[in-house]
Amino acid sequence: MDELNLKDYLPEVEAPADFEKRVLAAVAARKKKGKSFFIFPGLSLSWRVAAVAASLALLVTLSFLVFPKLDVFFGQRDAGIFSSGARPGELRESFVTLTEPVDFHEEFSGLQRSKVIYILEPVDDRFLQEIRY
Amino acid sequence: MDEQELLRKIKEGDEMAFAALMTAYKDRLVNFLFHSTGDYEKAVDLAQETFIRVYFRAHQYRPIAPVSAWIFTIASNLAKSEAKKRKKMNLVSLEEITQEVGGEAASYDPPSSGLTRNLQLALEELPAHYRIPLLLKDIEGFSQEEIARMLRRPVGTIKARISRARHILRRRLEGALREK
Repeated sequence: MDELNLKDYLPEVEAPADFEKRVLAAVAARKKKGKSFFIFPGLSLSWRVAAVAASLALLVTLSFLVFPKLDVFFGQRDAGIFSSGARPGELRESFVTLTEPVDFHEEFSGLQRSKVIYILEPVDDRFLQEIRY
Repeated sequence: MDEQELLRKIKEGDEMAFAALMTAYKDRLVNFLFHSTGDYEKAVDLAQETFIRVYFRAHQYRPIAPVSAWIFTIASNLAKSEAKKRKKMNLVSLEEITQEVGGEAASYDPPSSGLTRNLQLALEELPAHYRIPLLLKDIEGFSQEEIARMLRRPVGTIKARISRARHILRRRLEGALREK
């Protein structure tokens, strides 16, 4: 092949006449597309997606480290009930619902008005902490 | 105007400088990409994409290499990606489709027979990692060292690939050369 020069045998083609116009129109269109396309300029699309994912992961990690007690991801449901200082997730796992079979018959047997219904429920979490099994 | 100066102006968003750079390189690029892909329309698309990248990535250019090497590096990467895509999708070139349906081909009429046609077919069948270094050497005239830097491969690898590409072409064209 040394004696055969590819350039001598391969045909030469040229760009279409309106090439520059087409490219300038494409450049203008991409500029219009918005700045979001050019987040992390100079990176390919896949690297940009990876960079955005990494940034989100970093944000989540930082929010755990910087705001550990704000309960950003678990909501406020458990926050008011437990005051032991542990994280809501841990409390949810260690908490066991118990039904206390307390016989209030004697306490209420002396009452005269039998149609009154009393609903009893703990109003202070110290009560729960004092129970030992 | 000096190419480095053109690129400095493109960095500042000067579209006249960008148009001047395109005028200087468009034919060489389309020609190189045409022989890389074997498809004229695809070559024009890839050349456009090359210039779009040149425009938006002008700030990445470092004047340690010639502007031409930088532009052809971008074009080579696009040609490689296109070859991978085609391999995956097992695409037929537009040229073949238009010939089959009797439609009008782009602005390029392929030679129907002879050494040129055989050479084109043999080139199309070459794997991209052989074809691109060979074209950069033979068609664009880059040195093996420049090609090695452009394709981020050791010079020895590039030399071996060009030599291997010639060997494969020689074998495939033996018949056609004898006829000539």
